[in-house]
Amino acid sequence: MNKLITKTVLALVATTAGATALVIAGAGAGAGAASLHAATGTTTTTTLGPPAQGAGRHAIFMYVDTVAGGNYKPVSDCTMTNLFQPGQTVVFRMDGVNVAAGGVNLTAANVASAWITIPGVKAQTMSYGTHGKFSYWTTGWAIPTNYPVGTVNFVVHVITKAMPATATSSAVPAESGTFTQAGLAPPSQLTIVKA
Amino acid sequence: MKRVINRKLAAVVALVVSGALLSSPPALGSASASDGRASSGTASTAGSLSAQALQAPDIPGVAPLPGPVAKPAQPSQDMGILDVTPDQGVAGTPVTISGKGLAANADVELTWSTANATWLVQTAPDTVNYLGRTDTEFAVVLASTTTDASGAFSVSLKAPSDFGGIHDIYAVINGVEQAHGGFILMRSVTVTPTSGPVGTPITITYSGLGATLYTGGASLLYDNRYVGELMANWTRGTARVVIRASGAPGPHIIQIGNAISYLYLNVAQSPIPYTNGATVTFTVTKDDGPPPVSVDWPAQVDPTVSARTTLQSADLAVGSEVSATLANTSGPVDSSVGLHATGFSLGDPVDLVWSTVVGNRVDCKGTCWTFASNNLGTVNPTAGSLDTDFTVPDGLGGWHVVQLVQNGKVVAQVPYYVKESVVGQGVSSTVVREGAEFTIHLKGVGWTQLDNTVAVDYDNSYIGYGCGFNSNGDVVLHLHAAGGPGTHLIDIYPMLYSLSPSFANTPYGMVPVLTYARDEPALALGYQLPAIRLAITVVK
Repeated sequence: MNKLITKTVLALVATTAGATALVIAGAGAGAGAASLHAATGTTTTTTLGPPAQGAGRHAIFMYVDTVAGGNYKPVSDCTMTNLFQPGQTVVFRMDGVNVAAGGVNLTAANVASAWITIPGVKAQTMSYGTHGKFSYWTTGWAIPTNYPVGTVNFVVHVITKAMPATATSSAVPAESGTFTQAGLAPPSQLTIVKA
Repeated sequence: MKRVINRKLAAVVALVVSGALLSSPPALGSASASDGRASSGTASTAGSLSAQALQAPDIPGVAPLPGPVAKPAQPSQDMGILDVTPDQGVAGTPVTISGKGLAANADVELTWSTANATWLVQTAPDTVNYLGRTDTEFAVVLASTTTDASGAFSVSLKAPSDFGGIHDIYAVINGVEQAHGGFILMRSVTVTPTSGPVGTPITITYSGLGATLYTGGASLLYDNRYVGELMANWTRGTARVVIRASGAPGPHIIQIGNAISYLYLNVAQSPIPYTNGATVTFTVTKDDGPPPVSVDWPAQVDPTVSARTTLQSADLAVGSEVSATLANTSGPVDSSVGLHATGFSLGDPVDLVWSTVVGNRVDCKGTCWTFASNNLGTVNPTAGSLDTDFTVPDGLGGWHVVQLVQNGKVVAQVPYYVKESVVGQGVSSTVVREGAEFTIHLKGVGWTQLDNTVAVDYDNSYIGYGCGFNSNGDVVLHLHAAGGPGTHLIDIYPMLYSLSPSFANTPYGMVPVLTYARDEPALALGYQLPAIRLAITVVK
């Protein structure tokens, strides 16, 4: 079963520029061509791509994944997966920290709003609650039977509350952040499949 | 859990091992590839050993990309959805794609996600290693249109011939993906003919294979017996194979489905439930006796890789102006080949040297083979040129090099490919008593991981393989006459050897490659690995 790997560090933009040598296959000399030299590859240098969540500054760090909700058989609820069929329920889970505020956890106390947008679907509010022993943000989405197959380009949005100055810290303005799957490999992204 | 494993294109190996002299076979050391995969120690002249994502040869009959490659686009954070009706079907299915709520009177590109898939190998002067497969995703422009004044559009087209599975469709306006839809390209199977006598060639076409590891392979069963595997990396999702009808007169079940070598029997419960297969009944009408021996060669394609085993870079004469050509560049052992060379500035004798290797891969620690040379004769140039014939040694198959050595220096070298061949009628006896042993005799089997082994099917059932390395290309296979009186078929297919050395991520190894004719990594390196079709009559 494919499962979603969406642990993405929004706040970290560390990109150690590394270089990797790629050896490209040489275009073919015809069989039997006289040659004095063993074939060699062409070596080129490539650079790392941009961070998955973009190269800009990130004030908010989010971990996002998707798990099975009700009616997802045969696995049990809350099994991590990124592959769903129409009629099944996706549960989006998120937890994170406000980096700009020194790394405080995103909770109902300091988040003004958290919601998710799904193409063709009205924005859904995420709620903060306790699941088992721990608390995080969630929302569920029952996939319509006529929803398009393929990748679901959802976006998680968070806006934090402004935090006033205290005796030991400066005031922190309201911050906003988003999470998308755009930088992840296609097999990792939330996908609607059919038999 | 499917982790993202970015084995994009070439994993990098930059490995230089000790030089080798033809006249003095080197002690071969072991080495490790820099990508972390274990590597055999391999003899090499001072060159590099590199993983290569093979450029696909120009395979005839392969569908082109469904459209021009699309420019990269960014997803809108307010993306809408497209209506794609139907949202699944086989290639050629009429499809209507429509969208609404977009910008008015805007130019729209409809993009279609697709991929290229290919094989990975390592080439070296003394071997070729099989390193698996890889695929690269991208999008093409399927159609272009313009929205109306209300921001809507509708396009009708046919589902393209492409890799199967899920394809994302985006409506892109000014470089932004404004709406998303999708289409699942389903699989289809055709079997032609569906009846005939024993030995009838049956062409099976399985379309809609995917571009990824778990969707890119298939398996073929005949009466629940394993025939072999099919892939479609270089054929854009369409695998085509030919098997022969076997068994007693009556119905026989051909089953084809998704696989990594072996059939995935419950794909409907898998994350790829769209990888459907099919079952078709073939009726054997009668037994007319054994069909004639045949050798089915793969597609004739221009290789895309210039590397050739045994091509040396040591002891080369600097500044040599000698140019050598062969009358033909491939043939079986014991062939007579004409050699013409010009540009000799000296009249000194020229030694013709056949470059090869000797050794094996059995229980091999490090490297268990080394370069070897066969002297093909000595010729004196006349007026700066020479013309002569030589006989291809009865030895290993695959790529070899004929070297022209003058005064201890290689003044020219020309590659020659030794084809597999059948000795006599192939089988030791065409009529065999039930239960008795018989043998199959082949020549020119090679030594690389692409051609050192052959896979053997008996009545469309994979029973084992033979290796030609230790026996210098000579392979005698020992089989027993089974299945009762009548005609019984032996089909010998190429195989990808994935042992000794064994590399990570090398699926599809050690079983018959039924799609050898159009989707086999050796094709890119100029190998011509055939299917050899034999038969016996079993009597009481």
